[in-house]
Amino acid sequence: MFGYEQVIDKLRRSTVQVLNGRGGGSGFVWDSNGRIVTNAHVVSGGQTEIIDASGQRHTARITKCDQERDLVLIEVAGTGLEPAAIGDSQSVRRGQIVLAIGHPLGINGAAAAGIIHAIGPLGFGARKNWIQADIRLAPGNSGGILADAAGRVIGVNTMIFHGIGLAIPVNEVNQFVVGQAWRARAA
Amino acid sequence: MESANNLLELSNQLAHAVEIGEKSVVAVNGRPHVPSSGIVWRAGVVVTTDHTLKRDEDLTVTLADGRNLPATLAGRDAGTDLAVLRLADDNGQTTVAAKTVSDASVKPGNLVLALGRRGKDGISASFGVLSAISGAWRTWRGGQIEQFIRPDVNVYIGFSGGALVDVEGGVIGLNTTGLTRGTGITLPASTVTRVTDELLSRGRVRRGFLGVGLHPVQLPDGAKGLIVLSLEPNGAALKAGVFVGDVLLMLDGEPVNDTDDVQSHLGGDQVGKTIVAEVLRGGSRLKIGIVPAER
Repeated sequence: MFGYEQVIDKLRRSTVQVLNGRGGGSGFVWDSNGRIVTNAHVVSGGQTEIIDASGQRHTARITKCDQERDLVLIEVAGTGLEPAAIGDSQSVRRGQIVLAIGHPLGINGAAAAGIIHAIGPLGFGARKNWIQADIRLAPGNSGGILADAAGRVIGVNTMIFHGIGLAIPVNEVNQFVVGQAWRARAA
Repeated sequence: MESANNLLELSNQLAHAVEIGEKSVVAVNGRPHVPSSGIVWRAGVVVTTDHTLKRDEDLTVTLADGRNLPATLAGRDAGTDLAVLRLADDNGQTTVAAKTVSDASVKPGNLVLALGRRGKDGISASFGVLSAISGAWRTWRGGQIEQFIRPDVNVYIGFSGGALVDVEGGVIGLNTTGLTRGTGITLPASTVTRVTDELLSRGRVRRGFLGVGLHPVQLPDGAKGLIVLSLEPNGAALKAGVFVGDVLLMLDGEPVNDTDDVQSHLGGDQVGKTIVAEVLRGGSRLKIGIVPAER
């Protein structure tokens, strides 16, 4: 038997709480260099701190930002944080099981399960690409992991639209991490 | 990850069910803004919900393969919230008709998926369990439904008219939010098939109509009946000599306690055939023959 519990345990170890002085959200460990991905709207404000899965507090530094796509990369010094397994958002199928880990409404490491609802823009001329999930999320899930049934990250939970969870496809996150972008919101 | 990941197997099974089920789920363009969903019930015939169809003409259907075909309205029935469309250009050649599962095979707790299509964007899905299943019921608009099926799934905007499928992709029924408050319910495949047959052959679902307004009352002896509060001008009951204030006790020899009991005597086959009403008027019982009209 290999089910929800084991997958969620693993995802929890790579999930961090992100604090910005006023509130916060979730984030996850991208690689073994201690780089953490979260939403730009989660870190807006003052001093950014993270609390890792073991409860330790770290001061974080924002090293890359894309306001348009709502992503930031933050770094913490001297870690040993466990990186998440990164999946491929190109190969997701509608109906497949997804899991979200985060800190909805301040609850630590909470898990939610659902399925892929649809893939693509919201329609009506929208351009942004989303993984749309039939899953119950709440504020505080922002910046956290959306994973497949094998525990691989396929998206970053970012918004809730008419009850549907919207996640940035992880392949776009990868482009952001390797790219040069420090894009401000289009004025 | 070890290979025996049960969660991954279930995940693949659900994705497979969507791929099977979505072949017969279409988008119905019959209202402004968001299209509703529909199901190809048989070759060239699409079933959708009546309440989401805001016009009778200028209808199109977007198929699973992306084609957008003109469609004509074969008939609609507000009672069961169903409408049937014929695909104009199809001739039954290229549509994939839904594979239905029998009403008897579905059980509370079964895993299910709701499928909807919003135009060319492709299929959308939501997931949950069957939360309640019980016997035949009648909608608030008088339609007869073979089985009550309530799934615990999100019925998103545009999902009405779409399919509820099992983990094999077999169609359990058609989802609608038009017959209940709050969450949606599923019309069983048997009801969809019966109403589709009737709408294709007659263009409407026939129902007997007495033309009376009734309210349940209890009589001094404890018996129950329905008091006549109003009579439709030129209605069947008025023509037969029913008065306001009469208390309806029986129809065709069977006691009637509430309006559901009355409705169950007014199926389409009762139209034009005399039904014997026993009423209490001024303390005495009398029998009146009424010929129900069609509605």
